[in-house]
Amino acid sequence: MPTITRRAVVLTVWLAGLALLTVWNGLNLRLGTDLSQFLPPGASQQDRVLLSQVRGGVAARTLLLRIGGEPPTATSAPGDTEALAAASRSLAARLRGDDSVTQVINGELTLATSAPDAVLFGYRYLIGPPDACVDALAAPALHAALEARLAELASGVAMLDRPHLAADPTACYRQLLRSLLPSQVPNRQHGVWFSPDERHALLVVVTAARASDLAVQRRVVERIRGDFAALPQSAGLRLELAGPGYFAVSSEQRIKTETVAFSLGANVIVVIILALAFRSTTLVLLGLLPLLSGVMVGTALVSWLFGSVHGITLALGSTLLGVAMDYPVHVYAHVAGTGASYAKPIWRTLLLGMTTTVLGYAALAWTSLEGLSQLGILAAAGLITAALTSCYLLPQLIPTSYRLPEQRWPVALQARLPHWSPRVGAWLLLASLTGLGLVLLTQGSPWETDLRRLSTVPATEIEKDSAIRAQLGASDVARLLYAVADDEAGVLERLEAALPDLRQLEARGLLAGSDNLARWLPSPGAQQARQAALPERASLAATLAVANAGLPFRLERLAPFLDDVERARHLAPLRTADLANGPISTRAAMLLQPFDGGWLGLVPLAGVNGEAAVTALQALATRHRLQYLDLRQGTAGLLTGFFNTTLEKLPIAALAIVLALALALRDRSRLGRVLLPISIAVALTFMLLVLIHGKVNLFHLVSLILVAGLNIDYSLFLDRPSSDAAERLRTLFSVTVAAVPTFTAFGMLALSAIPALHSIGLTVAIGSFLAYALSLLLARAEPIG
Amino acid sequence: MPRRGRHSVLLGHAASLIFLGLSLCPTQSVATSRQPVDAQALMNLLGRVKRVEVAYQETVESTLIDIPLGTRGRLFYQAPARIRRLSDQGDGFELDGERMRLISSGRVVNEFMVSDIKPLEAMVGALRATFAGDLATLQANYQLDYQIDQTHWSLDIGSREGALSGLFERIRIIGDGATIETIEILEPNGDQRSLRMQLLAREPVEIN
Repeated sequence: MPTITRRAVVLTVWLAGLALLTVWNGLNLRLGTDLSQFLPPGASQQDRVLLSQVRGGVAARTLLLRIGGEPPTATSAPGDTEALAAASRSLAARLRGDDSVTQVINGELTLATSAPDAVLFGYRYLIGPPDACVDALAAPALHAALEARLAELASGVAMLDRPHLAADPTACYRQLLRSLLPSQVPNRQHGVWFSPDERHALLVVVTAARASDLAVQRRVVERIRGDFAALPQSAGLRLELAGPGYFAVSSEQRIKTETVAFSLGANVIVVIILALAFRSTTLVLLGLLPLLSGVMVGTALVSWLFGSVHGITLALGSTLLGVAMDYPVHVYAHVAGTGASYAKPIWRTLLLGMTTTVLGYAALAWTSLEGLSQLGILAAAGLITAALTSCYLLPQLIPTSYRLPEQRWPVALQARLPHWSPRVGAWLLLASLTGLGLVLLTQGSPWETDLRRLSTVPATEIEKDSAIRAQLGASDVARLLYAVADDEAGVLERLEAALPDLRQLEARGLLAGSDNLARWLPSPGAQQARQAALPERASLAATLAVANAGLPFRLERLAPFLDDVERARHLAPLRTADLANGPISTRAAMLLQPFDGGWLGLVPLAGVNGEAAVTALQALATRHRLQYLDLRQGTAGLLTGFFNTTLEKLPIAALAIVLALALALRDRSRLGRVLLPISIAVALTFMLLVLIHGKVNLFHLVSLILVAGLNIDYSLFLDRPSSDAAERLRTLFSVTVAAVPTFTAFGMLALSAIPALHSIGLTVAIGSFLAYALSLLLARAEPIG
Repeated sequence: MPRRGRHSVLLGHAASLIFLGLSLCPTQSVATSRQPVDAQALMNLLGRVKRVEVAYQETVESTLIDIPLGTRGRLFYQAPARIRRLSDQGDGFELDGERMRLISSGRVVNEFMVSDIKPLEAMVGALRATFAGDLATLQANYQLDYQIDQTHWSLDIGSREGALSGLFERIRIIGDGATIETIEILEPNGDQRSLRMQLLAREPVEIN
């Protein structure tokens, strides 16, 4: 077969395969954004509760909305509050009809002003506050209640309760509704929630789906925006959203947009440099094949193994695969014009570099964190694919007539560059490690354990989220008490027992409030005790007659009251399942959930006031067999665990790399020359990151592994012994052409507003530059002979 | 202003108090010899009142009790929508536009929006439209029946499509010229509230 035809066939077959893989990925790729995939699975019960809340708890399903004037400025006067309130009402009314939204709260008194709920009204004597319900049925209390109702009747007070006065003369239901009100509510103006400065109307939307269910979250966010835009009142007003679900949607878009933008930018740089270096459009285009193949194979494999690919995995994985951009450069520099069917002159070095880098990535795959496992597998599979593509496919596609253009700068660089001895390198390593040690001593633990800082959300968005939460006076959903028991009754009993102590903490100012389900859903035992205290019909009728002495009530008209109390005596205790589809079903489902084959009861805490409050809450938890949980501290603990786990495995991976290199090189001095630049570059980059950012996060750490991978390639290639001066120049040429686009492209990425991309960009830009420079100085092979 | 937890308890104040307040707005004690010929003429007349203060006496007849209950107090109205009503015991409300402040023993105990309470909003809407002379709103939302005789006119406002359902079945306003003398509210359960008023001051004084 003629060479040109063979090339065309090989290229067509490969492109067809790549296209099929791309289509498969397009059809099957589900992008995840659940940050908790980067948290350990959780060994203890507390870890599992923590993760269940981080992943699907109330906080993870809450969207925060605020409506303000356009444009908002710090010095502008408060907006037209009536217009803002009207927009808030209209938007809430529209959203309440959406099935994907379980609750819309904007301060309107919907529950108090709607018709009584049949279940709650029927059960009021079993679940309502005892002083207005079961304890109000004795003659003196009943007399006082009748007097109060008479006064209300005369003055018109409580006219809304008038239709059920005959059935509820003690106003038990009214008091039950009062107990359902949250312990803290925001500032209200015109009947809806407002920020304290009255510039924004505030709403809270609870979605049915968790934040990580991107499809539903995107639909909800679009629906909210669409409904707002369609409001007649929305002209001149601005809607802002915050909360995990919104961040998930917006960061997905943001990751896509910025990744595309930076990839384009980086590709333009790479293309320009490759075009300048090789002066061949064909080679530039072919050079993209290994990376594309690697990304597609890696993504498909992770997608197939895990069912979805985390957004961060994809972003970091593509980053780690950046190493693969170097392979075509080496192949072109050493193979072009030789007519070889594979990368004969460099295949050992290239595959050795790939193998050692894959060993480094294997450390990531070999963890219990799903997100990181995905990352390791994607990067390793992608890199193997890219290396094999470069080694065995590219040489067949290089036009036979192609010749490497003459370049003068490698000669000049080779002549002027000093050559540092291993001894200088060892001193440099010692100095770097000493510097790093000093920095760590002064800075303390270098690990970033705040999960929020791992976020792909820009700092401005996080600040907006915090601002809205502060304006809402929102319950600090990061802190809670919880109880786990085999059944619902067991959970409720523990929560119930804690009620008096919680009230005491509130009275002492240690706690602003708490949402304890047992306040309005007593345990079955407590309900039965109240039931037992309810008088029989005849007895209650007699008591009512005594209580009405001197009052003008017609006793026969109060028969519904006697009927309801009698009915309540025979009811089965109310359970959360009975509240389904009722006005408080969502809230009940949030506070009491199936968990680990049993039940989990949550008590979100608001305004935990300092260390004294934490101590008191921990003591309270111990007394009542509850647990106190601080989600932020908890996730920080888990992240610390992650760092420790990863750091434990990195030395093993490093050892494996050293062993692989030792086996392949079989030369201690060469091994030293290859390892010295890597060690110095990683130590210096780590030190600089701590100095610049204060902390080292997950993205920094992963990027450092990439730096090590890049450095191995630079050192291995530069260190290849050769008696051929031209060959040594080709190596210098290929390493430089590979390195310059790397630190330029990642330098661009460091400009990103997304913390993750910024961290990666900065680390790789610094690290790859140091790696390149140190490899030139320390690992460059001397001429043989 | 307390913001915690009392809304549901005190909301019910609003309905009857609004009724009392709005019902007393344009009132005087001197009868005219000739009544407005139709509802539009009545609306024109009532809509001209800018400010008024009256003494009131309310009587409640309920099927729950053997004897009628009565209260007395003062009411102040200023167009277009500012009303303060206080009983002799210091209970009452202030309504300013949509904002309602409930008063107990002389102090504000709660504040909310009338539109939070749909049945109340429906009633306030009916009475406001009446005193603002907004016949179009009344005709759009309620069933109206206007009658006159030699000495009085009466306007019956009935529920349309459940607008007043739950709290009121019918509101009957009886007056003489620009003066509203009585407002009767019939509730679905048969209870009835009746409000009789006596003018203390009004602007402009020449309206009658």
